[in-house]
Amino acid sequence: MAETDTDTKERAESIEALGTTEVPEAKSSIHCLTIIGQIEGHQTLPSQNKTTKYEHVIPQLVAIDQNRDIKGLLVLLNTVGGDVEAGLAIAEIIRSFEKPVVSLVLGGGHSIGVPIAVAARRSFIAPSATMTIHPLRLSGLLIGVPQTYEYLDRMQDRVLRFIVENARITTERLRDLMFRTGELTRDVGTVLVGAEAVREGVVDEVGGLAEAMGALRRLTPEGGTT
Amino acid sequence: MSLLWTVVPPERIFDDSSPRRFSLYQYLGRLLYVEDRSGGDMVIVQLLSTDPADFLDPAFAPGQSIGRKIQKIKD
Repeated sequence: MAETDTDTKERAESIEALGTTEVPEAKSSIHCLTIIGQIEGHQTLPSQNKTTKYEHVIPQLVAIDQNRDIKGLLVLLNTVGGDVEAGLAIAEIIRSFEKPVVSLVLGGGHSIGVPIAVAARRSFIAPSATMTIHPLRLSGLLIGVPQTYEYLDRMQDRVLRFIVENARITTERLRDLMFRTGELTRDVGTVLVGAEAVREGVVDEVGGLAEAMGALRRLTPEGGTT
Repeated sequence: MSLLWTVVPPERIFDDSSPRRFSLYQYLGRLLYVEDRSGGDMVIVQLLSTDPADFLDPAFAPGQSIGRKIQKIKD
């Protein structure tokens, strides 16, 4: 982004205020999208929730794909899940990215974080990171009719289909993990820790920053320099 | 009705008993969440950028006070 005269003036003032003479001007050719907390979509969540907002992330992703100076994208996930449609929208943009995208699950990539992780060209999970796969649920006022459950089932199928299309796991196995009992204290479902997510075919590899950056460089035509 | 798929129980998501007061601002061409502390002190809470180099710039460090030189985007 080209800085305006006002920006330059503001920067000079900030340098004066901060007492520093050197502000790094380096630009990175690999950009990094951090997905933290709840993924927020149609509804603004109460402010004590840390959120990643659809309206911030989608334009950033478009800008990264359009910018000639940016060679690739690293998606870092530490999310507890969130809005299904916003999560799927982010996942779809990542899946259809022209530039190479690598995802790395750090800490947790739970629920709707799973489709985002698998949408990348190559996905990694830190050995200590976890992914929880459990059933979808509706919040708010529900009408107790069969249609409500059919709707929920259809929405769940949307997410499952996306995961199956972009990972090595089958729908049957994913459903099996989703409805497993005895693993979670408050819910049915499964927690996959590091290598288990790879063994189940959800994530491609166990790794950290070095592995994820290495994969990104291999996917980048000129080898991508940072 | 929102469709959430998350490991956090709804009662924790929708409990707004201790709201945090911060707003989105534009500062030096970057988007920031800024907390309006008592006495008009504006303090950076979070930098929204995908360029990792921005996070090396002390001007955008969380906890940094940025005074009055900012343009509010929305609440």
